[in-house]
Amino acid sequence: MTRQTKKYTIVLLMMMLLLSACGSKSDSGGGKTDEAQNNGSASKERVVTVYEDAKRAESEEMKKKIADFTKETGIKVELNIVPGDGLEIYKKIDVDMISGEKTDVIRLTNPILTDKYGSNGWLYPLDELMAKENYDANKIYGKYLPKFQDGKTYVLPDQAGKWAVYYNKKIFDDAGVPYPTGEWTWDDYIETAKKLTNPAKGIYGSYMLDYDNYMYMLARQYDVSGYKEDGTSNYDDPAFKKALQFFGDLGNVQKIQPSWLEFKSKKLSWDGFMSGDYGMHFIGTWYTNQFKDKTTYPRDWKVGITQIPVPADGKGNNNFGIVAGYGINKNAAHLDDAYTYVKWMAENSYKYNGNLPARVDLSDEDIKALFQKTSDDLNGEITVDEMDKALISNNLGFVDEKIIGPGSTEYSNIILQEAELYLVGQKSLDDTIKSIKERADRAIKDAAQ
Amino acid sequence: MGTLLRKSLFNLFMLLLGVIMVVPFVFMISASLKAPGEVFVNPMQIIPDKIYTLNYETIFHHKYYFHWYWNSFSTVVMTVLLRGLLVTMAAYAFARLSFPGKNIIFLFLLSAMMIPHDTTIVAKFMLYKYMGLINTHWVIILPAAFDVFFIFLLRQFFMGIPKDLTESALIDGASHFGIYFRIILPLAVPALITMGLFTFIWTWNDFISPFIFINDINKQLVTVGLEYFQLEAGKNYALQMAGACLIVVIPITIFAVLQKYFVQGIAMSGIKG
Amino acid sequence: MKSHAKASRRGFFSSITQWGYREKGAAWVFVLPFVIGFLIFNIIPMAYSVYISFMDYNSFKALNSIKLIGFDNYVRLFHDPIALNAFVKSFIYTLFYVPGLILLSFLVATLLNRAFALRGLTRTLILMPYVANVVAVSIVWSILLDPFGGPVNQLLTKLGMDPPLWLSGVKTALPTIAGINIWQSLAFQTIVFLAALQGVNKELYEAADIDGASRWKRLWSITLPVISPTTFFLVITSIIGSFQNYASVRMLTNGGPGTSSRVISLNIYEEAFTLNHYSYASAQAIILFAIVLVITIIQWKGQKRWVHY
Repeated sequence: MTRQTKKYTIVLLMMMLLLSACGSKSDSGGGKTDEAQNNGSASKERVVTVYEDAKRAESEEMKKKIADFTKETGIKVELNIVPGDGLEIYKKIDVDMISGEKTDVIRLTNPILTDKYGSNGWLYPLDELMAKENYDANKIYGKYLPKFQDGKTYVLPDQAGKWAVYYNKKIFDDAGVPYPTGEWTWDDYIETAKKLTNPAKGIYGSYMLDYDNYMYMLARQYDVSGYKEDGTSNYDDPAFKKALQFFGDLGNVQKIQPSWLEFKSKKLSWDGFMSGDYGMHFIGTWYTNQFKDKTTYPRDWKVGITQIPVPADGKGNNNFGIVAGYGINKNAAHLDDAYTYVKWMAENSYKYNGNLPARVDLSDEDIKALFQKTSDDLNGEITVDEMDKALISNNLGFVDEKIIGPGSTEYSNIILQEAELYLVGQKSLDDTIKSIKERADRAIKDAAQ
Repeated sequence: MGTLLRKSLFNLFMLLLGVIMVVPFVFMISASLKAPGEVFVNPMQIIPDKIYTLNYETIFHHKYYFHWYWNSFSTVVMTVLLRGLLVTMAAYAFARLSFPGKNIIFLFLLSAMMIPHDTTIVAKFMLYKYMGLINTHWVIILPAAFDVFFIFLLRQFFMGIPKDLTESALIDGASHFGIYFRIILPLAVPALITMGLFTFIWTWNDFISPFIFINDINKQLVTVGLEYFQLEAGKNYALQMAGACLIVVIPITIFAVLQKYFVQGIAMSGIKG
Repeated sequence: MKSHAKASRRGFFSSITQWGYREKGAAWVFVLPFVIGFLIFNIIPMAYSVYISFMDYNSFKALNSIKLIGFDNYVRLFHDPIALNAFVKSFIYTLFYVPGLILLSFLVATLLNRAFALRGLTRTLILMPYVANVVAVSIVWSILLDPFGGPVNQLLTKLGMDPPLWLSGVKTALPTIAGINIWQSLAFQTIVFLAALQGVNKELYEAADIDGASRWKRLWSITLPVISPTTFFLVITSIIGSFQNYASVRMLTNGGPGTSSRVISLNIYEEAFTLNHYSYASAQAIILFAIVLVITIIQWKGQKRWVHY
């Protein structure tokens, strides 16, 4: 070894030692701040800790909502930010729960999650807390209040979304296509999307995501249940086969939206519509929020809204939707403040995100006022009348968006897994339906034990 | 003339092979300096018309990126040091000292190399949770410190150090600790650097452990952080590339400086069966 | 009392320093920390995995409510087409990865073993992928191989070829992942081969030259037998390594399209952390370990036929 290299080695080793010393210091520093927070909450300052995904945590709506909550109640909100997208964050939260993490509040974005967390004993029952102050959840939330087998209340709902078609007016204008209004069928939707699709410019007429309910949305519109009378899976009902084929064709045959392959290989995301490359987006009303947030999503186009298309045979004239809500971790570090937070969010968050509230005690005027505010927030891009027509004053019925029942978590996973095989052409439609039915039957049986 | 031509053709071929191996890196750097819309317009254009630095600026203002980076760096350095100490000590004993059960213990250690890390991940998760390691950087450092592969490598190396050196020191009244610190370790510096280098690269690039054992976005390491970053950047490939470039800068620099040891270390260790 | 404690402490310290002079004592001080840590971080998890695999921890429930159910998780495995398929995919992956890796690294090592200009630079270039981060590498390759307008397929289309779907193709996903992983891990194997090639006694070649042996003959009857222990070592470690591909598969395809690249390591992870089937995932892991063990033992027994020490 030459003297030169020796020198380098010594310098390098010294550097490493130095850096590692700093490293361990910063480690312990991190630990300390955690402690400080906990001590702080034990004394005067009231704090509630809440899980949120990275994107929502950064959103203007969230910041404003939290600021107002703190102003009103004096409780500070600390977000436990979970990176990831959509359902991905619940993998992390699951693991947290099992390891006894004390973060207080969990937002449950769909009924399957609500059921999974509530029925498996991870949430704190709210009944006593509500009884103490005579809080009548039934009167406020009525049919939207999530129910559990043990009769307790674990979750207060903050939104009861419906579905609608949002459209990019610029793409319509460029293609010289009139905006969609009022009643229309899926055939109309496909026709319109075809006119908007322009491969040369990288524009698709339609955009849909990779959620389980897209795989069977048509069946839900016909109000075909995911379960038979005897409790087994109803996936062999022809409606499900038709629904899956319909969804697959949109990308693979009609080519009006990214095919499943393209969606997955490009890792397209739930907020893809905001990129301005798609003409229409069929999605739940929670999405309204994205249009308000021009910091995260700067855009040079205007948005419109219209109602969900229906099957041409007139037998499936339904809109659908889901209830989302907040629950409290059973290991919560700040129980009372968490309860205050959940209650406040359930009652008020519709005022911020432009989604439909899960409250039955609001009058038509209240809803109109909500639409008015959303319209104002969007500088009138969408009018009160358009929202009312798309969501409320139309001839559509209402059904559940998801398949909810025994083993629904597994059921949903099976559908996604098997449907993907069909969508990428690995499995035939009949085989896919058959194996969904078989596997779902087993999952339902396992869940019953 | 014929041989000269053949020689230069061979040179050219080898250089081409080398260049092909690094094409993805070239693309990565080039794309990171393009505007988001231009990445796919003319991908083979290596030097963009206009150098676009906004991607890097975005990263410099990112809330977590450098935090993750620092977490990774400090964790990796701790791993290198701790592993260096523990592994050299044990390897020294296996190479130079005799004690009951030595061969059996050594074989036992070697056979455990066959346990694929992925297979015990669930049990590890629960065990580390019980030990209170989950969501700390120790959950990366400690398991990595007890690595069998390098025991094997260093034992070979220590066995190659002349016995006369240590025996005369023993006669002079040195203890085994003294021999280990004053004679063996200084002689083993090249092997130690090799180990440090590999440990650095492997730990820096480890994805599964931080992904599963660390929950807090604040405490996350940069490999997993980069995946989050990729999700955030969405269809902005230029930005993704800039994030990817920064993550490989450190290992590539260290590798470039210490490359000799990378090659020597393996050759010296006598992994020839 | 106080003085007694002091004395015993002094005794303790002096006995430790004493150990340094006794071979056995020193050996335990050197070896024990490692062995204890090794037991905690390697052996206990393995044993615990076996234990969990016999439990009913297959739903999202509290740890204290789980109970023993015997071999149910193992039985279930043989009726689960997705899990069985994942094992098959892992084997197919190994069939692409190991031969590809060994052949290519041997070839590159042979080439690097010759003298030529800019050898140092070339070697650096070839070794570079090894140090790159798996996530960064996956991002780059996903973009390069994007079937919808990525650079590689743009180029192929220009050349008049019908470009494959690469990572998005049902048939091509697994080989493509194997290829990317070979590209990345080539360096290690190449260096080991290079060291072995440089260790081959030159006199053997000279003797062969005198006999007028052809290049192939030299390779076949001298080089390969002499380096066979190295080859054996690399084959064994590559096979074990080929089952640990979770990170790259997850980043590149996440098992897709469909289940066409859902290898067992990914399946284990998904079962555990997406579906909360912790016990079932452990059972799959134990089976995987058993398979790796059997393969290694078979190779160990079979080495007599072709490995020459």
